[in-house]
Amino acid sequence: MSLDDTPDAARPWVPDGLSYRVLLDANHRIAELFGVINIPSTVWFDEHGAMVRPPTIAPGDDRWREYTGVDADVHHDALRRWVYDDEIERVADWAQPEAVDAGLARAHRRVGAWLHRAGRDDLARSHFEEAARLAPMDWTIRRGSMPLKGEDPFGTPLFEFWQEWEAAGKPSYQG
Amino acid sequence: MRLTLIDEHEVEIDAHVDNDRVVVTADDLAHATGWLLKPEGLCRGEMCVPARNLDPAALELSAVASALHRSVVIDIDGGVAAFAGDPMSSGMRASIDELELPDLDGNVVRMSDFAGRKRLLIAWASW
Repeated sequence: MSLDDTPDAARPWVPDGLSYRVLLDANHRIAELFGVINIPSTVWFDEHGAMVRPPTIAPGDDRWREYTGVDADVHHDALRRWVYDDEIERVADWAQPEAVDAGLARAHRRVGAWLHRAGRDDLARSHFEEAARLAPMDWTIRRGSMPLKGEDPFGTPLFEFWQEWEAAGKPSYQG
Repeated sequence: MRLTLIDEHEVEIDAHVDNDRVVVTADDLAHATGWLLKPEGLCRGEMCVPARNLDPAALELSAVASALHRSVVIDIDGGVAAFAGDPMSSGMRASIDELELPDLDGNVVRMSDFAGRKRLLIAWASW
């Protein structure tokens, strides 16, 4: 599920012939429902639709290993053990201690994203600022809003946010 | 004015603005959010919440949000409003089966179509 704002933002990253569906969650409902507040994350659901493992940082490969501290093989192996042997790896549930006003923050982000799509960046900005103020350590809000504000999500704004987040003790991060 | 209300879907409805009060009709609220005003309260499917303080003839959006125990962000100049929280998450952790999302071509995909199988949600973005 892509947390991009539009299908066109996601499409260049979707190869042909995938064996799974690629969906768009522009309003970040999976943040609300399952506690996904960073990417790339995976969440496991059983045959009845119940979450059996909360969101976990899970890069597809080791390209950003230095930053994520996550070895892709480890979670790939854990995934195979779950699929084939029903073995569920226990991880700490970090979805719970989120910002008190995270729901309100996401509503501001949604309104900001909608205004951006409607060409009203002048009005959108204050909503992104309010969202960041209410949930300062939520990556889907902080980093996810960067492209909508005309900022480079791989450039200086990311570096500055990273420093802020590191100084705060890397909250809500489960590798 | 025209107002886009963002909840499970994004639906454009008519709204009346009186100072900073945004008022909608019960029909439009039901159309946009699925919450139906009945004598017993605001109801969506099997669930009803008390709504004694709501005026059926003029539903103020922030009063509707209060009744639902949700906040609402309204941008009158931009003609858009969003309820905080998700319509699916009413207190208990949701089942993924209830979730529907569009694919990149806009076709709605229901997670319940994959019920009976283990499901792996991979969250990613271009950013």
